[in-house]
Amino acid sequence: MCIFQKPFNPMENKRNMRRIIAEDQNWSLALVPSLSVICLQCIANTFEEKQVFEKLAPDQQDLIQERLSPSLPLHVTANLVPEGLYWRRCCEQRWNVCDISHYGHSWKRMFLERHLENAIELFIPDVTKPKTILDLLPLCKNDVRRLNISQLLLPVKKPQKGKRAEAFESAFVIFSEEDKASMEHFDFGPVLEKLINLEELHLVYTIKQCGMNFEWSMFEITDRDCRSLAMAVKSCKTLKLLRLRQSQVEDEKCQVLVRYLLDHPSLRHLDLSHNVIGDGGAKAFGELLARSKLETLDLCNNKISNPGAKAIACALSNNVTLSSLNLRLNQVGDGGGQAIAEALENNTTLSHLHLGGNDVSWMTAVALSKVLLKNKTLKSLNLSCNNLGEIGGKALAEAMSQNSTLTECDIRQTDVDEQSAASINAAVWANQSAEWDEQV
Amino acid sequence: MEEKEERKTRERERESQQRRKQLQRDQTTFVTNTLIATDAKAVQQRRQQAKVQSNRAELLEKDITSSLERSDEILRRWSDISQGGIPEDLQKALNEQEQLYAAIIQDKKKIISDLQQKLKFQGDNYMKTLRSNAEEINVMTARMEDQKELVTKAYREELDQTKRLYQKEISILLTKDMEERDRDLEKLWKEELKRLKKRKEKLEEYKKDIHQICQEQSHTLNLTDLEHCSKRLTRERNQEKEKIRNLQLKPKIEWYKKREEVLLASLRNIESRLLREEKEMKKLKRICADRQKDVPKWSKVLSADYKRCIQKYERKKELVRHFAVADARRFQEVWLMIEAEVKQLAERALATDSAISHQIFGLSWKQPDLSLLELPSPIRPWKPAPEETQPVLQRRKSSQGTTDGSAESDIKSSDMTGKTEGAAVSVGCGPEWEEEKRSKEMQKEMMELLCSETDFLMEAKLLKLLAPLVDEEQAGVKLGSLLYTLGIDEEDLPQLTDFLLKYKQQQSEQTEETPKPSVTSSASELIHPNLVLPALKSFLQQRNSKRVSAQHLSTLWLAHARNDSKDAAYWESLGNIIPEEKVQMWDAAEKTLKQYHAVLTEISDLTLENERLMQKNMELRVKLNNRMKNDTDST
Repeated sequence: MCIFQKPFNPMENKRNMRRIIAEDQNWSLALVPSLSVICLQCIANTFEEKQVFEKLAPDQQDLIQERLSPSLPLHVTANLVPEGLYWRRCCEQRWNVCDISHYGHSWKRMFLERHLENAIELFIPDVTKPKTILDLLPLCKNDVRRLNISQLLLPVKKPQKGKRAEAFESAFVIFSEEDKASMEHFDFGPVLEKLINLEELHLVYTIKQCGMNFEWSMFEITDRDCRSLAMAVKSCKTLKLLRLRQSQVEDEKCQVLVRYLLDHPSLRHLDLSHNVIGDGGAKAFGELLARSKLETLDLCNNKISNPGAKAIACALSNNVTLSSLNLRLNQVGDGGGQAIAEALENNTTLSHLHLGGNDVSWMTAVALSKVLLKNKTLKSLNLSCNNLGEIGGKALAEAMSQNSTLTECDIRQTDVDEQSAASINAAVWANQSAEWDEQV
Repeated sequence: MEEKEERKTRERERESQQRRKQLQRDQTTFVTNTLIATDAKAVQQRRQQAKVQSNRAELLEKDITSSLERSDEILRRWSDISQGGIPEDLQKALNEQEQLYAAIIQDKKKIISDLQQKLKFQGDNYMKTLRSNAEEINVMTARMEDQKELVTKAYREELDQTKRLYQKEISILLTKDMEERDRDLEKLWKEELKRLKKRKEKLEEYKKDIHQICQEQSHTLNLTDLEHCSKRLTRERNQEKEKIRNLQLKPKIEWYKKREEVLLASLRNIESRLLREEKEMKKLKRICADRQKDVPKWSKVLSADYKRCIQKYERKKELVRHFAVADARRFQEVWLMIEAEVKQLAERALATDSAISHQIFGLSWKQPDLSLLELPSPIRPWKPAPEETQPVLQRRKSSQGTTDGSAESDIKSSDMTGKTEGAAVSVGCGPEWEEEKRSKEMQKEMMELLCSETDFLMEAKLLKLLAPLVDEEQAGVKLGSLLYTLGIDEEDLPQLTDFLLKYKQQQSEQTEETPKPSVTSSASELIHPNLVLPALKSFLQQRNSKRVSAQHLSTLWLAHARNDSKDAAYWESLGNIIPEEKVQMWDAAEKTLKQYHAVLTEISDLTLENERLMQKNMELRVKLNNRMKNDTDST
């Protein structure tokens, strides 16, 4: 390509100076990579065979991270390459949207978590070998803190392959005849056991794209799933948040789950919204509130009615940890609402309460307005989509005029007259600015 | 002023923040509004669903009750029919039953179709709601976008406003500060100018002052110069005058001066020499003192050296003695061993000799002289002496030698006698003088005699010095000096007296004069004064020789310890125990014996042959006889 001159200074001896003749007209000396860069390139190319990465200086490591191929097998890179540019490249190559702020600003954590999530989401029981996931665990056990599973596949049924349309009916028949218990999703037991830093687990027992093979069973958690999940969660001592949404959890499954969650050492946040939990499940939660350190309980969009709400209220009056309770879109009714209001008279920890869409009326509002006069911890109250009426509105407005802690009070869609609504909003606004002033 | 401004800015900040907060709340309220709207919708839907469900349940219940009634009727009729009747009636009843069945089925079908319709309706509804939801979502997103834009606009406006406000404030502040600074600067400059002006004035004042001072100074300087000059001139004048006065006396004074100078020079010379001498003296004294100081040191060192040498010498001597003893013992052992061997050999030789003479010659063997065998060996078993000092040991040895009559001491004594002009007196015969106890008095007398006789050896000065002393002391001192000159130790004194006595005795023996000297006689009787000198001479000579011989002996003792002159003869005699003639005889006998042996062997050979021949002869004879017999038989 070109002839290099000997390394003497050409300025000293112009006669002996040899010329650099480049065949390529565009060639320039500035573009010639230095030997160290070539060496690093070589190291990057042979990264899989020779592992000298740890011996390099930090700036060299950065250079390697720039050059390393993102298609390298994970078992080579996972434990060797630290957080940095390489993982960023890996993530950006694989996904279009990469919001690092959701992953503690760590590209490596993001990549490993999403990789594991993908693997689990594509796991087909009885078809995919469990080893594919078990092999991943030791590589990402240190970095994975959250698992956000957005779908869980079911075992493949024979007729599903091939002539789907024709076999649909028969398959349905066969399936319905088979023991339902044999239908099983992915078992989280071994996974949660290995992930030593896992803090959050978000699960949805659904299938994203079912196409014409729709079956109700695709969108619900089975008994056995529930039991195995509960055991897995119990064995995971670092878990702080469990979210199980849209999985058709009903009373029995809920009771099973709650039984295993009793006295869990680290669980702080439980979210079972968008399920079909009824009063039985609510009673189980009442028991759980007495025997756990839960701080947040989210039961929105379930079927909890009067007795269930009373059970929860009973637990709430003795609880000292719960700070947020969400019962949106249930059917608590006035009985439940009044019970909860009574419980709040003794409670000093609850700061957020959501009773939106619960068929409560002015009676609950009056009870709550009594609470607001005494209680100094409640900061947020949501009573939207209830039929409070003018009486309730007036009671609340009166209470709010003497309350100085409530910074949020939602009374939209409650048939409250404008005057009291305005007074309530003004009071809330004043409280908010006072709080803000305090912060400043 | 400032406080007011600060308050203003703070208020402004607060306002803007509140505005921002409002904006945020507005935005969130929009979102929550939608959320609550959906919630409300959900609640409504739930209510509707509940209503529909209850309607349906009612309908189904009605249906069930009606169908139950009808089925009861049918069953009753069946029972009527089974009771029997006319076939026509039966037919009729059957028809009626069929109608009833049909009615039930129709009812059911109606319900089913109703339900299906409802389902369809519901499905359509669902689709509609889905569609409307989608539309709504679209609208929502559009609105959200709008909202977002609006909010961003509002925020931007807010930002701009605050920016503008701040900029304005800043510019106001800046201008104010600038003005203030300019004012301050002007003030400063003015002050500076004033100060400079003052300085200038002062400087000019100083200049003037300096000028004045300089002028004054120059005036005073000129005055003093003048005075000096006048003084010098007067002095010079005086000097001139005096010179002129002294001109006549000058030559005389010069002459005197010259002489004085010469004298002074010589004096100085002498003084300097004296000084030099003194210096030298001092130097020498110092050197001397140094030397004296050094002397004890040196003497110490040297004495230590000397002691060491002596010790070394003693050690060497001891070693020599040890080796001498060891060698002597070894020599003796070897000697004895060889002697024994030789004697054995001699005996064997004698035995063979006797055998030969007895058997071969048939002579009676004479015992040669066995005395030779029993000859005393010249060596005696040597007994190691108990530890003694070197000289004593030597003396003992020599004395032993003399008593034994061995060659060693013989030679020595003979040597000695030769040297002491035939006097056979040996100084070394210690035991005698040791045993005889001389009285001290005798010794003393002897010494006095000696001293008086050898006065000439002493210096006259010493004698003069000694004259006033008491006789005894005189004698002592004299003896000391004498001994010193002769080089004799005081320890040797008794030896000397002894020698002198003996000498006298010998002398008297030689001259056949035998005056019996009594031990207690006076000194003059001890020895003749005339003999003292030759005796002394001989004693010294002997002593010297002895000293030499002792040294000689000690060094060459190993080589010359023994006189081996007789040894050769002894060994010769042992070797020649069989005389030469006998050996010759033996040789001759051997020769003849050999000859005889040869003859004998020949004879034995011949006898063997003879025998063989005889045998042959016998055989031949037998053969002959046989043949003869055969012949006789045949014939």
